[in-house]
Amino acid sequence: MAVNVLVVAGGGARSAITRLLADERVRVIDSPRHADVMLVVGSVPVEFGPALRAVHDQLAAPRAVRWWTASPQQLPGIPHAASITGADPVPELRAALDDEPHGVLQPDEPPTEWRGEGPYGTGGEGMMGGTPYGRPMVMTGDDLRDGLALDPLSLTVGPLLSPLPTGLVLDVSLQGDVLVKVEVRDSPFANNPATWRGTEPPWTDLDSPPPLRDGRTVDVDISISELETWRVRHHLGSVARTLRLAGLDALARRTARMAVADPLPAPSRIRRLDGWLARVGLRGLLDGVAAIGPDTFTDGLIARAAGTAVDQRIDDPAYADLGFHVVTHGGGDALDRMRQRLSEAAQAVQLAGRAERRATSIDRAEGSHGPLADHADCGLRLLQALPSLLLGMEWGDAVTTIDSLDLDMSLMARARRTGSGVLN
Amino acid sequence: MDAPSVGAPAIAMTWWAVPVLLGVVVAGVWTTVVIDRLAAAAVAGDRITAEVLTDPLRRARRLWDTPAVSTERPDHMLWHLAPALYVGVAVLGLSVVPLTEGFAVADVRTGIVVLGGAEVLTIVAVYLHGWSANAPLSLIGAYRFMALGLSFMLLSMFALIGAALPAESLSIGRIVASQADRWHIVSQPLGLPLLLVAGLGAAFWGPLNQPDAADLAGGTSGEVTGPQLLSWEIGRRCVLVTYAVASAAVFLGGHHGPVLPGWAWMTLKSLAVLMVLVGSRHVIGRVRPESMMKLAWLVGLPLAFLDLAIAGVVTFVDRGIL
Repeated sequence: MAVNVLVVAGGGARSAITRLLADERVRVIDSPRHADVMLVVGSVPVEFGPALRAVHDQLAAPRAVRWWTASPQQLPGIPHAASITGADPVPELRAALDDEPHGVLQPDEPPTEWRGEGPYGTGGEGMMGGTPYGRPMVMTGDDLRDGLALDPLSLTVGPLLSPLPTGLVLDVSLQGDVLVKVEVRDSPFANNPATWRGTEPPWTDLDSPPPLRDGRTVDVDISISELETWRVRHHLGSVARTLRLAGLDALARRTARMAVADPLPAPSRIRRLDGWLARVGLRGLLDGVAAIGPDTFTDGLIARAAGTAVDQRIDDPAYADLGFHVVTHGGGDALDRMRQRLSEAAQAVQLAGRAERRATSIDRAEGSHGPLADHADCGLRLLQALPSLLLGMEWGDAVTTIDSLDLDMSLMARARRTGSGVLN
Repeated sequence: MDAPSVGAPAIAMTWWAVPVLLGVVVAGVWTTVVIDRLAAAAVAGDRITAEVLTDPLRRARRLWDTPAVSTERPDHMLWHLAPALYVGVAVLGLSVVPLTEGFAVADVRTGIVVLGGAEVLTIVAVYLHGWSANAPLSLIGAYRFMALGLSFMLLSMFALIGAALPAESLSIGRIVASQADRWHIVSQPLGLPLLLVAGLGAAFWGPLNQPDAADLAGGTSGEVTGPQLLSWEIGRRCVLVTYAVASAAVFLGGHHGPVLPGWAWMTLKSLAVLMVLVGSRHVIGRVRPESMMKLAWLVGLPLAFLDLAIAGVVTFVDRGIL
């Protein structure tokens, strides 16, 4: 029986999720109530404690929590979380099915103190708002689309809402399912990564670009073969996540297997997948969503998906040797970004195969979002652009948009903290 | 009792068809689960072992044993009513479909109308399921289904009426009887795809799974676990079974076919339709609500009208009027 796992991705966890997606003994699900076990992966800031406790209380019995990390400590917020330190978490996840039931960790109280507040002592202000019995009251408000002043509901979304990236916190106001106000709050990953508890799970981290994995400095070159291999695995992992968002769990597993495969999958397989997804598979979900024009982002994958031929590798003689040419797509919507990832993955397989001992340097390398040296800044610019992108979108399109930007909150925090982008 | 014939009473009921019907539902739900797992394994490239038969039972057992959870101030009565209603309307719809020649729980003279009514009542069931949890994402799922349901069930109505034209009756038994020489999939080719799409919609399966979508973290069933979740998932599969059997009866000639007995043909045809319905989930991703509305109203509805026109023309040609 496949174990239903709710995944919380800490630092260094991206490849963990790809591996879990590839494993048929595990089913990654979105709702804590459907989960057999909550699996926290990688290093976790202490600030995650309250959110972890809140999600823990929503888990179905027996509220099993496991922490997959190389060096076990106490998981912030959840004292009974056992650690998994091996390379294969599934046997221990299966064992978690028979855990002793755990009780709730937080008292069952509304978020705001209401006793004695307001003119009637109930927290509300008559008909005009307040927080009656501790819950925000829905009021009328202007509508963006048709002028019908309905009931805007204010919510804080995240940091552990699946399928949004772990650590993304948004203050939103919804009218029906349309976002009428969006603000990005500080992520719990924002503090110093050196203080995070635990460390990455024990295997070569497939999803961190090579310079972040090893303790290398600016002057040392990066093997093109390693860099392009990382690119293949990263992009296929992103598409696997998108497939899961679209409900295509089996195709997600197939794609995740391609992402972790050794040797790398053949480019023809990737192109076949691209063909099906673009025409039928993901078209209904992604087509026309979040068209980001070439003026909004002038760098990296998003610009290439919008038709701008900008890539660090264009001017690199090592790549010119390999016959590199820039791949672009028109339009810049979520479907184009997905196609861009798959096209670049297919191309990267060929580049990695031909690269032999060629190398490039960090300041010339192209990362997953833009120049590798600017990885953190690219991510931060995406976060800053989120509110204007998401405003007026329906909930489903907003989630699709965030997924198409391929944000990794913990990686951005670590890269930012180490100064000039990517280095350790 | 006998199947209805010209001048027959309004209902032909076969009381002992009720346990057979329930058996068909149970077998159908089981088959759906197995087909789902096999299709997933085929698409993902998993090894297929005998566990594909035992795993669903283990998961069902685990769900059965899981204590229920509750949100803050849910509507308990409606929350528990919703899955019961969902299963109930699926079985109700199946009760007017002949399972083989002259054998239905109630082959009423207005079978198509009962089928359509059952279909529409699923909107109530799914809406209640999402609303009762008193949670924002569940509620969004519920509202999505209202938009989805209205759009796609209209298409099935036209498809079914087109099938009723040659039979000059709304009774599904008579519709099956009218396919003795030619199945409706040949004379009205658009009808079956339209009905299948409506089936995907009513069970919110695969490309039309908006109410319980991943982007709503489970949607209407996101706040639900235990036996309630189990009954909800069974309900969705019951709806798929109803549509598979109804499609087999209305468009694929029902029990008609050479050599094999009628019930064997019905089984084979229903199985074929079920494989298409269930398998679609693994290859076609969820369609976003706005695109879905455009598809339903700008493509689906004109096709439904066209189907009706084709049905009319074919009927007239058969009768020698044209």
